[in-house]
This record gives sequence, C-alpha cells and structure tokens, in this order.
Amino acid sequence: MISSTLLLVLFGLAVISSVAGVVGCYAFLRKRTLIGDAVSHAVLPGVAIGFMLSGTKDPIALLLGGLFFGYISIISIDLIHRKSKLSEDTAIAIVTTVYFALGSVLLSVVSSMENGQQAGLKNFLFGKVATLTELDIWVFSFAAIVVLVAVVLFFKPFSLISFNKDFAAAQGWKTNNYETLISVLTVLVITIGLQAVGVVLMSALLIAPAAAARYWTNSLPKMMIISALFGILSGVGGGLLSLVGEDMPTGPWVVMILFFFTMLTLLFAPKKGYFAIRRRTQSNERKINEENVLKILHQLGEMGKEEASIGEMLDKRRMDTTVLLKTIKTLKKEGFIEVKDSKKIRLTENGKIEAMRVVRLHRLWELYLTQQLKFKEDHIHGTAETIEHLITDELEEALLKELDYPDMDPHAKKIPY
Amino acid sequence: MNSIEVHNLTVAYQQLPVLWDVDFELPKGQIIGIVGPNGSGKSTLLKAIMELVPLSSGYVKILDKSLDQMRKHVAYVPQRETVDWNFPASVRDVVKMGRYQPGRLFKRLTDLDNQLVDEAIEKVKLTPFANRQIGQLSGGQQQRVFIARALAQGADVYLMDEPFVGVDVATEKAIMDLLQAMRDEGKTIVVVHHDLQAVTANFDYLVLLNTRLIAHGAIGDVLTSENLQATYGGQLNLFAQLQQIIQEKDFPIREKGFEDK
Ligand SMILES: Nc1ncnc2c1ncn2[C@@H]1O[C@H](COP(=O)(O)OP(=O)(O)OP(=O)(O)O)[C@@H](O)[C@H]1O
Ligand SMILES: [Mg+2]
Repeated sequence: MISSTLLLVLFGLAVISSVAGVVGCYAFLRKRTLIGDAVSHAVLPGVAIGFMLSGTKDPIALLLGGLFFGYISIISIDLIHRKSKLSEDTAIAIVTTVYFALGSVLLSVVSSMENGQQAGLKNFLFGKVATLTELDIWVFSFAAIVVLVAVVLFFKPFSLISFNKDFAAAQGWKTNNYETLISVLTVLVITIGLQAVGVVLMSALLIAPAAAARYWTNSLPKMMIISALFGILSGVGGGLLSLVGEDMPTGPWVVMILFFFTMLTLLFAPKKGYFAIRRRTQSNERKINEENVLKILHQLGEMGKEEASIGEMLDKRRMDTTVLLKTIKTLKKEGFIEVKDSKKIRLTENGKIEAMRVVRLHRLWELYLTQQLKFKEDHIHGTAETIEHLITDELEEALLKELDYPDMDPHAKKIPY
Repeated sequence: MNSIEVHNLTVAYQQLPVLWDVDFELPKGQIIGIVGPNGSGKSTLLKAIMELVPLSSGYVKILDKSLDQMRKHVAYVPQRETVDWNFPASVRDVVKMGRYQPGRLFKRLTDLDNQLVDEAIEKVKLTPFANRQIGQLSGGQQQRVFIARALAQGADVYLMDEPFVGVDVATEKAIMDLLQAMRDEGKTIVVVHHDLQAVTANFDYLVLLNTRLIAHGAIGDVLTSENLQATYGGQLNLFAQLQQIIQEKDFPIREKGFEDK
C-alpha cells in the first residue's frame, strides 16, 4: 500500500538529492569538499535560531537561518585563513566544530521550549524524513528547483571559474560575484537537505555522487546528470529504508547506498574501473599469446616444418602448456590455424599472413634497435619481444621508411613481407 | 597607435613590490618577448595588464583604450600549471570557453562560434584530439589547447605566459610558426619566455624586466651585455662583490662586541 504522503516524501527526497548531486559537482571540481562539510555543520545554529524566532518548525525560517549561518561560516573560514596565517584545513576544522557546538547548545535550548521536541537534536544530526511535513517538502522542493535553474542558467561562468578562474576574469566575468553565487547555492542545498539527511552526513550527499560520477564520463554536463541520478537513487532508497523502522535515521541509510554506488563505480566504471583495467590486461595477454604461437609456427615453417605437434612447439619456445592449448583453440576459432587429424597444427593462409606480420615486426624492431639506436646485437632480443605486439600499422610504415625497406634482420634472418 | 601602454605601474604582494614603477609602450603587429629571471614579475606583469591583480599605482591602456572597453580584443593565455587538467572537459570544450563572453551569458554558442572553435583547433593541429579529455594529452598538446582557446577569442592582442615550457623542439617550432603567421596578420603577441636565444632568433621586440623595467625596444637595440647584466646579474653580482671584499680584507662576519644578548 503506497499512501500519497509517502509518494510526496519520496518526490521531495528525489528533488533535493538530485540537486545536491548537481551542485556537488562544482564543490568537487573546485576542491571545496571540506568546506561543504564545514557548512553543513555550521548551518545548525541557524536552524536553531530560525526555530526560536518563529516559535515552530517553519521551513522558511529554517532556510533563512541556515542560509545566513552557512554563508557566515564560509566567510569565517576565509577570514581566519587569511588573517591568522593558519592553514585552510585548520580554519575549516575550527569553524566546523565551533559552529556545530554552538548549534548543539542552541538546539538543546530549543528542545526545552514549547513545541521544541519537534526540533529534536538527534533528528537534525542524522536526518529523519518522517519529520518532514507537507509544507516542508513543497518549500524545499521549490528552493531546490530554483537552485537547479540557476545552475543551468549560469553554466558558462560556473564551469569557467571552476576550471580556470584567471582566464574567466580576463574575459571580463565578475568572478567574485559568481563564486559568491555558487557558495550561496551550495549553502541553500545543504540547508534544504538537512532535515532529511542530517548535519553529519549531508556533505556525503553533496560530494559522493559527484566523485562517483566523475568516473563514468569526461563531460561536465553528463557528469552532472549522472551525479543527480546517484543522488536520487541514494536519497529515495535511503528514505524508503529508513521508513521501515520506527526510530531509524535517514542519513546513514543514504550514505550506505551512496557507498554502494561508489563501490560499484570503482569496480565497473569504464576505463578506470577495476574490471575495465582487468579486461584490458587480459586482452593484451591474449594478443601476446596468440602472436607468439603464430610466430612459433612461422619459425618452424622456415625450418621446413609445415606442421607441428604441441611437443614440437613447446621445444621451440617455452610456454605454459595450458596457455598454449587455450591459445590454439582461439586461433583455430579465428581461422588462423587448422588442426589435422594427426593432431598436428598448421597455419591457414590467413594465419600465414598474420604470422608473417608478427615476425616482420619483431625483426624490423630488432634491426631498428641495432642500426638506429646502436644496441648490441646480443642484447636486443628481450626488448624486441614485447614491443612487437605494440607496433601499429602506422608505426610499421614509419619503421620501414626509416630502415629503407630492409631484407635481413641483424641475425641475418629474412624479413618476410 | 601602441598595442599596450603601461604607465607607472607598481604591484605589491603583502607590501613587497614585485613590479616597481614600470613604464613602457609596446608596438602593434610584433612578437614581443618579456624576459627576466625567476620571480622578476613577468607573470605578474601580464596579470596586471589583465587586471587580475590589484595595482598599487599606475594604469594600463590597450589599443589606446581601457581594458574594459577592449576585453574582446585581448586574449590571455595563463601558465599551464595553473589549472587542474583532470577537469571533465574535452579539447573542444576548453577551446569553446574562448567563445564565452559575459555579454552573451544566456546565449547558446552559434554556428559561427563553433566554426571559429574548429578553426582554432585546426590551427594548433589538435583536430585528431578534439574529443579527447584534456588530461590525456601531453604537456605540449595541453599548451596548444590553451593557445587554441585564445585563438578562438579572435583577439588582436595576445598575452601568453610561458607557452614554450615543457614543449619539445617540434612543437616549439610549430607554435613559433603559428605566432609568426598571426603577426603577419597584424596581431600583437606578447610572450613570456625563458630562452633568450630563441627570443633573439624569432621575436621582434623585447622587454627586459627585473622588478623594475631594465629596457625595452627592438631586439637589436636592447640586447646589450650591459642590459643583460642589469637583468640577470643584478643582485648576484652585488653579493659576489661583497663576498670578495669580505675575503680580501679578512672582514669578520660578525662584529665583536655586538653579539646578540
Ligand atoms: N599570489 C602571490 N602572493 C604573494 N607573492 C606572490 C604571489 N604571486 C607571485 N608572488 C611573488 O611575486 C614575485 C614575482 O612573481 P611572478 O610570478 O610574477 O614572477 P615570474 O617572473 O613570472 O617568475 P617565473 O619565471 O618563476 O614564472 C615572486 O617573488 C613571487 O614569489
Ligand atoms: Mg611566471
């Protein structure tokens, strides 16, 4: 049974967390991840004061209070850093803890007020979607959409200052104003996410989706979309899971799901993920093995043996027997070799061409090493072994030109064309 | 008309002047080298011209007008190390940034913009790499991305901070040819460069800088041993002479009776 309240809550979570994912991309790319954490701790006093002034848990008072203190905290970090010669991370640590302590004190005062239990400290620390009222959700969703529109409208200056601020300023952009605007938008996102996710873990919803999304693409707009998706899945998923139990905070669930996506990314991301890297090494190894087997057959052919048994091949070159058998299977499937009834192996026409290519590259490279780079003849075989598998057609052409289409390799073996 | 005029320019970081009362005019349509030892204020000079650092005194004119009036006619190429090349952007994305203008904040790039971007990429010979992420380029290629971005701006005056750093001989030649072709189209190119020999061989005009302006003018007029001594020898020479005096006269390094209590 899905109630309309539940749907509304999930909708609100989706909007809030997707916008956090988008804005988080800028925080991540501008290397402001620690500041995001500081701000989310620092909005706590604002939330408490907003409650004190309005006397109830009013989303607009909460937004204004959070916005004010969040922004003040950014200015404080900057001031402490510049005026006191303390390093930036020290300044961040000071601001994070002091504002957080202040907020905790104020919130415990609030809890003793009339209506105060609504603003239970624990709910703000770790977030609780169940405390969101319908009004909260409408106000927060509206604010989130305003942020989203701003991010889209100001894509040019925002991406410019994130990549190269001096260049942006040289083009005449008012970089300080745009930096302030990004900061304000970030604070706003943090404040609207606070009730759902909580002070302690809000920065994870800001940064983790962006950090994971960076693995999946090299384009900023796409990164923002992917980051938003990770945000939505974690926000909504975490919200649902936390609603299962009576007394369950939302933030930790959100972060658990974020962690899951981060792990997924590290494993499966294209190019930089674990499996992509493994696939690459494996396909390299396979290529090397195949080319080596073809080379063996070609060399045996040069010695007058058109067919060879496994044993004869192993005599020619040391190789792991299982690897050899497996490679023979693939080569057969690819039509480079055929296996006779006598279990003897011979090259097909295609196989001969391919084997010639490999041997040619090996010998050309050896020649290049001795002739152009003046390596000693007896030192080169090992080096040529790996390189031959890497030489592309263009490189081969360049080698041939440089060596003036030679006939013999340094060991006086024929270079096959 | 001058391309750039710098009048009584002083720039200080935390009270310490890095540029001191610098005053010069630069001609149009030439390749102009800015040369000086490390820390002599070359980068700061370019930043001051682009108003990226606050000026303690003085002012700058570009093509006889203020920078704000001439923004679209100047292009700035920062030092390559000043950005993070892991940024999620392709070569084309970065060169497109050259077509961004504050006056066209909400406008999409037009077909003409995209054409200018493609031409700029073509000129620096990066067309085969146009869609590659910028972190997957060599140092020399990254440098050319920055130059392409400036070309896409379609400016008349170009300020380039060390475009030849970390660039191999072939790329250096390619960039140099490009700069000369730009000059022949009437563009002015101001280049911070470390290699005095390359400057002498390929540039038209020279500014020698060491916090203060040492000299400026056509290469042949400026490149005297006296000027070079003043540019590079300055402090070092003074120290060397002091050291010699100490040795010759057997001067005590610490004066007796004045030890710190
Ligand atoms: N942001 C800054 N804050 C404080 N001092 C600075 C700053 N930037 C530069 N400086 C100092 O100003 C002086 C001039 O720096 P600048 O970068 O202009 O020199 P440069 O001639 O470009 O040197 P290089 O050849 O090493 O690039 C140096 O002593 C440097 O330490
Ligand atoms: Mg410099």
